[in-house]
Amino acid sequence: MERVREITEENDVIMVTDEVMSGGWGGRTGEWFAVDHWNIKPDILTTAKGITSAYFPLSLTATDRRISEYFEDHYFAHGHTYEAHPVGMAAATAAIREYKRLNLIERAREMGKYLSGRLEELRERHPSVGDVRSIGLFAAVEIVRNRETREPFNTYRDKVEGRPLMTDRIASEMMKKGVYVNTWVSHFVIAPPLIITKEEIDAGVSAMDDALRLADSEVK
Amino acid sequence: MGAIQGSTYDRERVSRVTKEHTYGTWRKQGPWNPLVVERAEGVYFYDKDGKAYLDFSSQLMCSNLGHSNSNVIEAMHRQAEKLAYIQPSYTIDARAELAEELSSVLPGNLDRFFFGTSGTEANEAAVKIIRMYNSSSGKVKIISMYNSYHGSTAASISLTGDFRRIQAEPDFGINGVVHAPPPLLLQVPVRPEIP
Repeated sequence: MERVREITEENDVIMVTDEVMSGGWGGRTGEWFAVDHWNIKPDILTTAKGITSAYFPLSLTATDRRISEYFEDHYFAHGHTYEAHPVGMAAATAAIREYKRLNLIERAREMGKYLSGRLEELRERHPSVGDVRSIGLFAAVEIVRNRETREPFNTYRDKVEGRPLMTDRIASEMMKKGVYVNTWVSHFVIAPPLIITKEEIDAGVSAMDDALRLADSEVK
Repeated sequence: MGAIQGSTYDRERVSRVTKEHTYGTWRKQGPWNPLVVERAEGVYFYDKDGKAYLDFSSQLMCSNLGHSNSNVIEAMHRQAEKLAYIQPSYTIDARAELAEELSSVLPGNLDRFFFGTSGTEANEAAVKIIRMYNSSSGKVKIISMYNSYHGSTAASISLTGDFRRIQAEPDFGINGVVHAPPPLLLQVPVRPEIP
């Protein structure tokens, strides 16, 4: 990302970082924003999702002072009726203060290390787990039909056509055990609320551990 | 008891009416069978039968504070009681308070904020701002990554690199967007598939 920032600066190109999901909001990745990990200053940053902990729909487009200044005497041709909605403003202010009060950045870093360790155990125990990666309390567990050839269980066409994905089958088993996890074509996104405890992480990992046997049984 | 006084909304009715009269996002409508959720607390949400689910993904990676944070809920309640809505060309305390809180946590060079109601709107605003800012330079091209997602609306879905873009092309979208391979292409364990 630093290299991208260098290249865009050299060529006078605007760099936009979309932190709708990675916007740390108290530590999802272990910093307020993912760009902070590399000390990048984007020209525009967008975010949403956790800005109000999703209690109210709100998003943010933040601009570098060079761009902000341009609009002092150039027409800003954009707006919505719901722009800067009062309840959204209040929700986000309160949410940011909560992220600070509960010191969730520190907490997410610690819990992130714990989560990462537990997920590595899944990789060791399950031939169907091809990759485990994380930053803070934001992890992915990727499944493969074959670790050497990297053959996936499913393609995006399966998803669009509505064919049952292995990830969905695993998530379904986990739902029966009372654990919800977000699924994609070949991976799961593990990103629990930043207030989660070690015991609760253990419960989630345990349900995933059991359910992954489904994928193991279809490994080539 | 349902949310509307005097009506009863059992699980079957909620599910049936939802399917008959509302769209389910990003799917074929026929096979959709939505879970009927009742409430949530801490890191759990509960369906209408009272079954608890540990929220291992914070819903769509958005419920970062968990559910039922009373300070946020009370702040929303107080604001709604005082002033539930005012047009954006007027301002309020909460707008200034938020601007200051954001300034304290964002990268220091970002000093002006536009508020939408979803991530896709934030990216739409970014595209319009870029095109306005660049209007005299003639620069139109926007480079985005394959395997990215930036939102569902016209500009955002054009920027989106993953498979959700395909259904949107070529009928609606914006001009000038090209996609580049993401940096981890060779390192991912699964053979990459460029949609």
